[in-house]
Amino acid sequence: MGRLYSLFKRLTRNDKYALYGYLFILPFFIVMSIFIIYPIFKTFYLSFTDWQGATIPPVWVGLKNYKRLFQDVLEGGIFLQSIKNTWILWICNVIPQFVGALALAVLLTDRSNKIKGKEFFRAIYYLPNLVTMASIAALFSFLLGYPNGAVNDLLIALKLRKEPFYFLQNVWATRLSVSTILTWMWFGYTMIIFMAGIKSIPEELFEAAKVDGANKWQTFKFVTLPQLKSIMTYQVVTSIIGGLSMYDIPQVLTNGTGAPQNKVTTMVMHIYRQGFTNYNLGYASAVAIGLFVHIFIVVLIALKFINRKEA
Amino acid sequence: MNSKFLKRAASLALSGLMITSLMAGCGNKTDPGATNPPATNAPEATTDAGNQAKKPEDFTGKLVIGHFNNDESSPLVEEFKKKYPNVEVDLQVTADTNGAYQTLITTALRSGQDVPDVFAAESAFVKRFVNLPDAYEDLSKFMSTDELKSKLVPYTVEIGTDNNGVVRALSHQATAAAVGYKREMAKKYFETDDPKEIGKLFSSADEIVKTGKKLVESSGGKAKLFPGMAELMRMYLGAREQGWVVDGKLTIDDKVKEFVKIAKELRDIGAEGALEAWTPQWSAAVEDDIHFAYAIPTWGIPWIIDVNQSEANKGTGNWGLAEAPAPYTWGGTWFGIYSKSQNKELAWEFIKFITLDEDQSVAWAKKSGDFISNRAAIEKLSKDPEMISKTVNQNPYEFFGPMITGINGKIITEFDDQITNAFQNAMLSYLAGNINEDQMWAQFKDQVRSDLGEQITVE
Repeated sequence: MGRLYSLFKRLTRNDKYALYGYLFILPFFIVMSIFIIYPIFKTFYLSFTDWQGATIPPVWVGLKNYKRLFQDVLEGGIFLQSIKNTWILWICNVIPQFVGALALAVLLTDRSNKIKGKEFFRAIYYLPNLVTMASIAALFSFLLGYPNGAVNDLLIALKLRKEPFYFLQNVWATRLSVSTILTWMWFGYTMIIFMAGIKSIPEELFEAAKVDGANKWQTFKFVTLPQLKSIMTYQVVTSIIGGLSMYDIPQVLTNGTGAPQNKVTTMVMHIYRQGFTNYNLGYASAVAIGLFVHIFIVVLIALKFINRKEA
Repeated sequence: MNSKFLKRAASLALSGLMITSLMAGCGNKTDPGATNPPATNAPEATTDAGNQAKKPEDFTGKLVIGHFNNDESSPLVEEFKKKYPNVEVDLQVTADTNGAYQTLITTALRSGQDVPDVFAAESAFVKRFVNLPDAYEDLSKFMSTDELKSKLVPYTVEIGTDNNGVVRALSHQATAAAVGYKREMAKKYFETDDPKEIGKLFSSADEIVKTGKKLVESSGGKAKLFPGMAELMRMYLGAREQGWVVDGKLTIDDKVKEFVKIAKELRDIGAEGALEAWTPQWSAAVEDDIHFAYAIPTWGIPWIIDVNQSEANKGTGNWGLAEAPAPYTWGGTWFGIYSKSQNKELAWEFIKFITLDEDQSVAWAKKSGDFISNRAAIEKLSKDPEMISKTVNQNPYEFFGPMITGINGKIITEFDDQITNAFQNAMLSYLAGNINEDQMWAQFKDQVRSDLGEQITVE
């Protein structure tokens, strides 16, 4: 202890300053190691074992779980289906979400139009983001109930249908419900990010465009959009990462079953089912590592795409 | 100088506070597992005769009981405390939403710490706990299996028995089930509401389809035989001769195949309402005059019928109980003693009290409406006019008593929950007309293979 103290005294003022810096970020790293780094390594270890999660300790089985994972993907098993599902759910969500958010962002930041109460709209559109996803999903499962949920009652009352429609047993109806909930929840947030991006575009560019005689659409296409590229790619990347780990909404909407016919099971739902419903924790860990690799590769590709464009 | 020191002290204190608040979730892992010595409770092997010398008031100590339902467990513990006034009971209730209770017990078992002395298991996962090593204690140390089976309804003991034939958990309930029907609708469409006559309408697959057809025709398509497919499914699963898994292999009993056939027929003729069990619409259908029959277990009278009836209709005898094609069981809660508990003697007193004590069973049946598993009590209550349920105008003990010993508890396996769920999902798609029967079986088997392929073989 004494030696340490004398060492400490001999450090320069700058060193001491840096030391304090390290000291203050240390708590974060300690917590992250315990709750994030260690579990990742433990999961990696577990993926090579067979473990039922209870009193019998894990049994080393080598690559058995990974073999099963590959077999599943090659033979079109449930994991492969869940990969497809997750991508479909994400794409059906991200396209309307971004288009809508961009349109609204442009509208609400445009100085020339006289929409009253822009701030009010900004707040309103952000509101859905504050609601928990699980409660919305539960609400939707009531609305889409068969044979007498709210939507079915409405359709029959308006004479648009004679018999109730079994929404939650229809693959695309269920999928689009999930995507709709996601779009509704996130378009406000995306809109605000885009608005910040548009506001940061230098005023001179817009004035130059005006001088050149560009109309609204041309301004958007040639000034706004290119300037928003970096923000948009950031949004896409974070959306991919969030989308690939989609869990709450399909879980609550289908009550964990991924019904109908496992066409709404996402990758994380599959992991949860394997690990916590069926106690196949070794295999679930392998699937989790598989998901990690999947997201890693996708993000690498996305980042390469960004960097190439910026160059 | 002073303010600088204060600033530094304040910032260090603040960051220290933030770190400790982050650690709050860690919980105290201060006792190493070694302080839980394994059963040095060799004197535990005292037979019941030895304990009879002790009176309930003589028992002291603390008992920790784990349960997942407060409404069910609190009153039980109250009764126990009345009879054993010097025992302190700590009831820890964690609801089993998304398996939270199961995860709690499983992780506690794994770490060997904070496991309650007595913990409950519902029928959906009792077999899993019973077969988990080091979970439940062998109860034959306290009373022989044969004696247990003679005093309690046999199938409840069978369900609490592990794959090696060791009894590890007992239930204070016998959740036999039958067909619950609405008397008004019975009188309207079948000219009688007599339970025996209605029972005939459900006596075989052909009869059921015939009844469904008759109901739909005479009501002009309005009335339905069952609110959903789960009702008939439960009846048929209970009537099986073999469970879902035999010798480690997925087994599809003939009754299951028969069920698939009838379920499709009933849905196609419009005799089944496509409601999913436990949804608000299903609960609301208890009160209407459209859905004729429900699968009603012993606890269904208070928890399915009564709770969903309007005030005006409660206790007016507007429902009835008729025999299902075969006696079946649905639900129930089992209790067992933690194998490494320090309080096994006390824990056995609790289990003995709620199951084997005849007076307690009778009192409990009258107080809670539960159907108890104590055979002597059942015998007594079947002759007691006080037990005639106002809801169905029949004495459930008189009704279920004769059939209860015939229920086969050996067809329940630890994989039932997952397999039945996979079956139900596949059936929902099949009945909705989105897949054909071959696809239904394929989906069912694929799901079971994916869920349980490491533990059972699926062809």
